[in-house]
Amino acid sequence: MSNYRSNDMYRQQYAQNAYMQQPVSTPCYDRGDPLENMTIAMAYVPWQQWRQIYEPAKGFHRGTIFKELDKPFVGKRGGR
Amino acid sequence: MNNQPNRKEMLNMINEISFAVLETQLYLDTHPCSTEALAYFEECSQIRNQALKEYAKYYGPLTIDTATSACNDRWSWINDPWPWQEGGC
Repeated sequence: MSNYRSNDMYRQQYAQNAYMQQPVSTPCYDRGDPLENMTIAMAYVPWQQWRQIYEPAKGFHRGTIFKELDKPFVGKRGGR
Repeated sequence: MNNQPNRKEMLNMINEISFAVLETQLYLDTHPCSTEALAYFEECSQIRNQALKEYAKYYGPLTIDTATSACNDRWSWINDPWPWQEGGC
């Protein structure tokens, strides 16, 4: 029984951290996952497309010539 | 001498275009058949090579590849300050 309890606590914590659409209070946090049809435990990276290329000067100062990769990493949760 | 391009501006431009070349190179590593990326690479690469030659002509070669573009009848490779010397980098 103690095993079950710690497992449950882990799951709650997981639900808090992950991008889940359900609030933490619902027990059904594994529903409504837009990636549910994909194999679990695999990582997916979509192919990059050649588009929205910065001018060389802008790219140099932004650290990438690809607008799509110019992310506002601000060191905390959430974007601008 | 008045139409000699500004050294710092030339270096900046070389840095910017070199970065664009490098980024496109990395993209092409995973997308070798992208004709758009290939065309952009060719364009940027040409501009970069031209800029390196131009820079070498006025201020000496940045790399050994443009040593012959520094129009001198003498070996000028060691004339410019090294990166750790004042005015070097």
